[in-house]
Amino acid sequence: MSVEPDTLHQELKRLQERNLYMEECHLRFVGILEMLASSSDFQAELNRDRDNASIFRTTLYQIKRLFSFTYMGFYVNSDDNDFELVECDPPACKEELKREIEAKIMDGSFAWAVNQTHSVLYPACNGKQTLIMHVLSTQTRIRGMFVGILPGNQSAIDVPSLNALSIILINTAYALESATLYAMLQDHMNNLEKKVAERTRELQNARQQAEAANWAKSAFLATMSHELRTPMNGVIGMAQLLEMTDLSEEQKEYVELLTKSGNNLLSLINDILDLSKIEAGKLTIEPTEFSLKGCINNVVLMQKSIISQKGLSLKVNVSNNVPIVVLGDQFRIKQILLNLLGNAMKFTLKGEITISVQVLERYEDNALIQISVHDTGIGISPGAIETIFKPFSQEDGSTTRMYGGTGLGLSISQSLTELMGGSITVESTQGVGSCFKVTLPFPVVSKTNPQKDAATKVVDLWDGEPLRILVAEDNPVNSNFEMSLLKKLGHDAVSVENGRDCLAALEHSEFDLVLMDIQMPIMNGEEALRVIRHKEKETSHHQPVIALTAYSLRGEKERFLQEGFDGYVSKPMNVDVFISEVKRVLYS
Amino acid sequence: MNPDKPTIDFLVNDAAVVYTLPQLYERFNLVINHPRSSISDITRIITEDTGLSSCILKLANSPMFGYYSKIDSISKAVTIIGTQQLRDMVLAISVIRIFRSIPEGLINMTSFWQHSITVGIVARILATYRREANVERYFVSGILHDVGQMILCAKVPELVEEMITESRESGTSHFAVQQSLLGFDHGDVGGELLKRWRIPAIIAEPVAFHHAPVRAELYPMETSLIHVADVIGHAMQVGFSGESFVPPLDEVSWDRLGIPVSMLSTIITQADVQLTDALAILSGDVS
Repeated sequence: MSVEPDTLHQELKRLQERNLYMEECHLRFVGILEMLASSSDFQAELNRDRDNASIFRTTLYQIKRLFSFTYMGFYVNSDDNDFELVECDPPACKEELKREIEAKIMDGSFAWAVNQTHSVLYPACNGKQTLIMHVLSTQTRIRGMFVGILPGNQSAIDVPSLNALSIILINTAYALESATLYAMLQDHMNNLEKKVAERTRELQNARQQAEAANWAKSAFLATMSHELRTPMNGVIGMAQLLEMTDLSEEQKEYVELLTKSGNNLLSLINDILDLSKIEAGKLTIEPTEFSLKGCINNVVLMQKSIISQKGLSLKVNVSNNVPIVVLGDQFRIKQILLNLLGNAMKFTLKGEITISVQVLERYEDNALIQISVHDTGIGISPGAIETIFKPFSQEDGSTTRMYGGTGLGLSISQSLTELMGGSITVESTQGVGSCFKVTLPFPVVSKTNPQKDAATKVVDLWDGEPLRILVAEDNPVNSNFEMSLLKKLGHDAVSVENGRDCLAALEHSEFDLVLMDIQMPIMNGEEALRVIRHKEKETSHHQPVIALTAYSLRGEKERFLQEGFDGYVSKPMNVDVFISEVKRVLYS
Repeated sequence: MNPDKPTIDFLVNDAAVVYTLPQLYERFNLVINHPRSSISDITRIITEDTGLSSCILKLANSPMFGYYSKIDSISKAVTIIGTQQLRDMVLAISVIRIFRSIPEGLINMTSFWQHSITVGIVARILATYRREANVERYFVSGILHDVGQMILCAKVPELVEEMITESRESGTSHFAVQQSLLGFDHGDVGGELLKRWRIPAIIAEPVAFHHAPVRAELYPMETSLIHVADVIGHAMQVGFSGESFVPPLDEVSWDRLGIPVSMLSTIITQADVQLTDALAILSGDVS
């Protein structure tokens, strides 16, 4: 089949045209690709620009590659919703551009363009040019408007370029938004830094003030103890001297009253200072070797005349096995005894007061000694027993008026006893009498009188396997006492002085049981237990830990158990209570 | 082929041949996508079809656009409404015209287009609130969303009638009955037709999955929006497309839109205002 030359010619012509068309398409596509490729630089530049003016300049530069606008510029949307021309190119065209846009704002086309997301085209005022408006908006906010004037009629403008313009301007809008957000963030951060600095300064000031106040308090205490006592001693001394001079009966009576009041005031001052010192943690125990029996006799002697004046009788029973010389703070023990005896005398109108001393437990060079003061006084109501150890409390207001006193004595006695590793308890029946028992551990100095029978008795108490026990206790007297008790029971005991050393000991070897004091320096017992329990989460091992606490904290037993202690024993350790608690914790 | 249980292919094979997009839309699409075309090229193609031009101008001057003065020429419409936007309007109008030829059957055509146009308008308003770049794309997706139902009605009318009855008697959504009986719903059918017509996936996918937005892989946002617009359209009770119940709202889709619930009444009021004119213009062109 042959083909007509005419048809062939036509076909060739058509293909040539087609080829030209394709080439043109190709060039155009390459152009658009180039524009898109360069727009990644544009993006990077937009991200770098942190102020609106440079974002606008970068954008105008990019738009120039796309269209040859005669004039172009940016309007921004201010806070009061006014549009303002902020950037234009060339700079001299500002007035011309403004006039053009004023007209569009008046006829409503500007408002229309604001709400479109694409280019909107209008003939310019002079009719020979085309105005392009394109909003600058993100999905959350309208930030402004791009305006540009192109020479010639709108019909020649190509559609892909308009699409490219949209892409550029959307990027610009987001760049503006991120610049604004960035500025806000920066602002917040500056504010935050300022606030942190301010707070730190305030806290530093507060800390300095607190430290200064604390120092002032200590200094005050130190001076006061001297400053108050010196003149009082002067007053009392002078009164005593005055008493020795030749006085009328009336004058003698006044001087006696003066001496008595002076002594009362001095003891009140001493009480208050002691309490303050205890509260400030300034009171320290100073142990020396002394005779317990001598100490008690001394106290009794001081009060004997008053007791017989009141028509009361006083008995002192000291068991034979009480060691002769012990190590302890004689002065503080006297203070406690005087207080208890004073109370007994105060609240007993008739009958007798009995002081008994006995050894509760004895292991080698350690003895647990109980001193009790028993009276036949008015007694204490069951409801008041809980509060009598609190400062400034007597059973009720009426007793204060009737019997006098500050209500500080028992509180001080309790604090002193606990500082020495002991405890103080009370049993009382209203109308029958009260019995205060002070239990204290003492190292025994004299070895002339070893108590073998007591030791044998103790050993028999533990019928199980010997245990390996770690004792964490800072008070040396208590620690010594506890260690001897444990050894007597046949256990293998190791002692440490604080929570940190306790953790270290547990790291290095294994213990069947830990006895943990609560109040210790460096790391207290509760903290140490938290670390032990935290570490256990990774293993299946459970370390039994028994809390050793001051007797006055016995009400908080539940809290200790909740915190993860397996058991609870109050100090000074009673052997029966201790053994039953160990059995409960380890074997039940 | 078993007419009792038709497949998507069976339904669409014929339809894609019988119902073809007018050449005009294809040419228009070519021009818009062509790197060289200008505004005057686009204007020229639309003005060739006088029916289409007048329909576009009527719509452009309706409350849907709310332009402050009169848009009296296609070239003005192109510069003011935008080229991409106009392309999608042309598609919407063309599809409505194609199905003009379907015989009135169990579903009244006016009633059918009322529902579709309502969903188109609601979708367009939702997109406006989200400041989407081209709201007309949502308009056309909304208008086309039930096009598959139209094919089902034309190809298997008895089956559709059966399914409508069953849906009413059992109190189940019509689309759910379709899913359980056919294994697909009218969305899948419509999506397949648009695919064969080479309509971009950004329009076809929302149509296909408007009853199962979770299946959307490419355009979950757009699909969610059409799903929500369809639910609102049913709740407004304008027109009928075979569905007697308001379909259940997919919460993930609703959350994805990020439109506050308090906006709903405003959206519906706006849709009501735009609806009257749009129905007159678009379905007027149909009947």
